[in-house]
Amino acid sequence: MMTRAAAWDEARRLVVCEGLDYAAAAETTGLPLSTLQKRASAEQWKKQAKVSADYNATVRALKAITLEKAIESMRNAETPKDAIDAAQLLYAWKTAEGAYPEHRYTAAQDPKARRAIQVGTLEQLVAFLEREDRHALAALAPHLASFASELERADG
Amino acid sequence: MAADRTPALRRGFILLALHGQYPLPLARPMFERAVAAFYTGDDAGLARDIAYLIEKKLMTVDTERLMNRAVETCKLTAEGCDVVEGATQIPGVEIVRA
Repeated sequence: MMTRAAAWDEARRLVVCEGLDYAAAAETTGLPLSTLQKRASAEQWKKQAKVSADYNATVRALKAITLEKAIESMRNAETPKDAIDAAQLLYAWKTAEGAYPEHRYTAAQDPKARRAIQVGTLEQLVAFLEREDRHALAALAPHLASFASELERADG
Repeated sequence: MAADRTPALRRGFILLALHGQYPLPLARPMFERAVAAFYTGDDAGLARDIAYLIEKKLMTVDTERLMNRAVETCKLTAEGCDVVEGATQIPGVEIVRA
């Protein structure tokens, strides 16, 4: 059960970072809708959500340009110095990717990419449970196939 | 040959990073940590972009005293806030709109 303060923080996060509407945020956090609407309006949550979305879009653009530059420099590298410069650009992209992982900044437009991430996460979970808690894995196993089917259906 | 958008995008990214704190300042070490990923191997680039944004009056860097220590802080200006929120546009600053 969330404290009142935690519910407000979560409601703001849902609206600003996840893009939920006020009704969904109110339902999720148990806060009264009219109160949430008033506070969200006074604190300009929708404006903050717009800026948050622009932030994500700018991060994606910067990462894409960084990667393009790294690939271009590798393609055109002719001298050892070129190769070193290309390696530095690749390192710069890797640092950016590490700080802003793709799965957090991909607007969910590519179902295949999203599914690859979901499958990868599921495989990691299975591997983890195989090492750490086989009982939990045995309990989960009957549901894995139907869960995978549900993911595929959701992607269309 | 297409112009390199990186400088303008990085400046936009700096303003976006500061907007979360607006109107409050952000301590310089925290600010640099927030933007460092896109300046890997290019410390001079960060200094240049900060100087540009200060000159354009979109951000400020001040020294404040906190518990008897000098703390450098970075802050978005009202003009910088307008750029982030889309009310104004500056040619050397790019923010990708979702």
